[in-house]
Amino acid sequence: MMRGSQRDRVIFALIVLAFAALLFGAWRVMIEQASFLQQEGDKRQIRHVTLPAARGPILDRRGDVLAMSTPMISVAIDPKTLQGKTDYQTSLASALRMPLEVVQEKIDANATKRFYYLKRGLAPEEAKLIERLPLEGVHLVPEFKRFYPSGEVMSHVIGFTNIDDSGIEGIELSYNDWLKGSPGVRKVIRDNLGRVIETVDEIRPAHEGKALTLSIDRDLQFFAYRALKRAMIEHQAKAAELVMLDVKTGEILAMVSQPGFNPNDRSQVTTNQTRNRVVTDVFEPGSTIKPVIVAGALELGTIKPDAVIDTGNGKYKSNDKLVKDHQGYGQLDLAGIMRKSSNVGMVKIVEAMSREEVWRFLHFSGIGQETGIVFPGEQTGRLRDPLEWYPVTKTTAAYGYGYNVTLLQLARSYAVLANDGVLLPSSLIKLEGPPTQGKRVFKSENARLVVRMMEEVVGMQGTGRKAAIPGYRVAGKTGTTRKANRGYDSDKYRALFVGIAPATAPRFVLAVTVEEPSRGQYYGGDVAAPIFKEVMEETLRLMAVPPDDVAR
Amino acid sequence: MTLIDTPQQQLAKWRFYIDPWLLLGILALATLGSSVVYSASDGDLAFVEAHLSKLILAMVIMVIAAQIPLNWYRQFSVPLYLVGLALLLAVMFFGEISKGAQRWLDFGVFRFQPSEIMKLAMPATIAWLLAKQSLPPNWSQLGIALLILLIPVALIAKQPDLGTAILVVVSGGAVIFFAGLSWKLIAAIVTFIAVSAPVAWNFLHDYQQKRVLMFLDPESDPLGAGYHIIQSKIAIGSGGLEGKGWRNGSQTQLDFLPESHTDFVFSVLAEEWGLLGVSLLLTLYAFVILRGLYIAWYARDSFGQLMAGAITMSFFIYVFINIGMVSGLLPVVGVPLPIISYGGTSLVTLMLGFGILMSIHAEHKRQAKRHHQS
Repeated sequence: MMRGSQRDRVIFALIVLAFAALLFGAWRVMIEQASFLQQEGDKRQIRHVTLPAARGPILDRRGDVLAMSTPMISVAIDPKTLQGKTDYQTSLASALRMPLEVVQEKIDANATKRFYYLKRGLAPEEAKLIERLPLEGVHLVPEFKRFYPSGEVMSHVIGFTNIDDSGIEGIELSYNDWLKGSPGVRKVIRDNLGRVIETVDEIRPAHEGKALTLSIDRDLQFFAYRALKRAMIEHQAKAAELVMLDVKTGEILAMVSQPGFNPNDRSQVTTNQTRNRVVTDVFEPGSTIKPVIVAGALELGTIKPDAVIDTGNGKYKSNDKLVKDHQGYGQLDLAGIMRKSSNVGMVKIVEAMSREEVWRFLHFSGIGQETGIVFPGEQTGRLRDPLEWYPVTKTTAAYGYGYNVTLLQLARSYAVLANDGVLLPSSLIKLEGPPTQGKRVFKSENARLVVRMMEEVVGMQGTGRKAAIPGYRVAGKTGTTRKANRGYDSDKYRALFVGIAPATAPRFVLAVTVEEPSRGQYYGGDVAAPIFKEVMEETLRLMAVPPDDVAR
Repeated sequence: MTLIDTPQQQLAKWRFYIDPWLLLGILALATLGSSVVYSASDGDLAFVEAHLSKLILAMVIMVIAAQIPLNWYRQFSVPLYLVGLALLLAVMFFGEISKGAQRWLDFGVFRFQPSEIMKLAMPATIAWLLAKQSLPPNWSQLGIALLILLIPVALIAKQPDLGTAILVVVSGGAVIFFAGLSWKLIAAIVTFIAVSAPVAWNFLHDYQQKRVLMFLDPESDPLGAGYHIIQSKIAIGSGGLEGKGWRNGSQTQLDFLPESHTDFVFSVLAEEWGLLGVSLLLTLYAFVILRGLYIAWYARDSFGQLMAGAITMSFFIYVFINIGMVSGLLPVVGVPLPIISYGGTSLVTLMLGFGILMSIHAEHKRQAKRHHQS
């Protein structure tokens, strides 16, 4: 190779050309395409991170907390990155207080995934141990976890949320949109492993969900829960429910179902436990519906308040149906029919009514209808259209068979009588402002008349005398129904008592039922009435209702 | 004047040969490289220390190599070539497989890539062969030269190590070219390559084919094989004119850039130092290459000319392939950016090459001294 030769010039030119090409290439990428490539870089480095928002608390009518959200840390891993890093897996397992084998198993089982929740809902102080580790392949995800300080007591009403903080049962489900917060958005710079390096901009802060105030009175609920649970154990019953309504507003002050569950630990929970039976289970109301029918007859005028009916020897045939009383009661006035719970007397009363008329008063008392609460799984029960009724349907309807109701519907129909004949929608939410305009079903005097008749049920001679509360006048009605199960089981009963207090100026309706008591006693008056007495007595005391029976 | 020098006289005769211009260029590149490696390693001082110690070791080798008379290299070229060939065969049978390629020999204490030997032994051998007679070479010489070239290249390409194979071809090919390959023959070879390329394509490994395809359209598989190139282009592109500043390159510092301290170190420099930094780097490289060509042009004999030309051209090709690759002009082949990239055996080979280059230039002084003494 000689200096100045043609070959040298070619080489020199080649090198100059190559450098020019490199420089041109760099210029093209760095200047011409710079803004595009910078955007591409931002796309990789800048992320919008969702900030979890706390769910709104659920409060009782006095403002006590029934459900609250606490900040938690969930630990997610990138199993692909953690493959085979035994040392790190060991320190991760010990920081999480998990057995190493479990951690390894989970990493191996999800080897191809890039995101897997290893442990959710750690308390922030527990998560501190993990924050000390180098966070390669581990993400700490802030979340909120729901806590229910009242535990089982409020379990059915409030329901619960799933692991993603979304309501799936009870009030948590039906008011999910109200309770859930709006998550915030934050613009961050993250590295290739997804670790957040720096916050650039807070685009939208997270807003906590709105608080929801229930109509429930927590103290009352606690007391009712204890009374019901004790009775359930005492009678070895399959289930038991109660519901208390505020007569003037339609608000539900207490609502308890048994069996229950602990909403804070649902690992062993079955649907049998989570069902809010007060609104999801229907049954034939039996004798407890009699006051509604009597009020209907009075309203129609087909019977006079001072009427006396001959119930004979306690056996009577109507529409080919043989109707029986426990014994022959002979001549009974309307209060007597209630007191003795005479089926014969009731059948004779409805004989003067058309089936449409019987249907109408049941229907307008809320039977077969939604109660007005917003609750998942609420049943309306079945009250057939009168056009579909057989003649015998009217006969059985007189003493509460041939249609079914929820306990809440039954309580609400009593609230109509207690509220001077006006039907109000029920509510689980505390009501503010002027009371709702109800629908009048009965004239005021008829409703009052029936309430006064019901007082005799609780009197010394009545089936519900165990519901009597010293110092107060109580109205109510017992019921003991056979449970329908392809025909009627001879030994499976439902004990019922629905009552109103104080009877002179009604404030509360309480309906109680015990399903399949198995310790011998099964009459509504023996099983359900004492629970009514216990809970209502405490309610009157708690609500500082002055006694209306001081004279006696 | 005695026939045999006393040790004192020998010491007095000994002169320290070094090419200050080449050294200046190399030192400047090494300084720039160390600061980029420091940034790419996210400020890991232990990492930079390891890099510096490798640089210093390689430069010591360079200085020693500069002292060795050119004749020694001429004499050792053929034996070294044969040893290299034997080791390449050994790799084929006993080599250690790492990352899907069989490139390494494990000597217990250290691992070694025999293909590194070929980077220097091959051009030296061809230069020795062609320089024996007057240039330009005749047909039989050319034939032997081609054989010397192609056997080791085939072995290296089979490992597979496409990057090194290309570099070895270039170093050997440069010798043949400088020796005076006729233009007609060059035209014939170029035509042959163009025609045989589609055939050669079928002999490429899957991953090599993939790299070429990815080079043609990196966006087609942004999370897979195209990932390196896309991330690299983003890093370079976000540098702009002035760069984001030292240790401020987000692609680099947030770990989006793969191999940021080795093969893709140019992208780090581009992102953080901008087009100005790139221009500085290219200027330094051009300076070193021009100095190399100067040494080649003024070399005293044909062997020195051919050897200097080959070393300089290999260095140039190193630079061109690496920068071309990371900026998306060429497919991804595993070639580090010379002197700048972190460590590796190739650094030693590279510096040894510069040492030989200096030795070639030192021949002028050695001659002058001999004249003076005689």
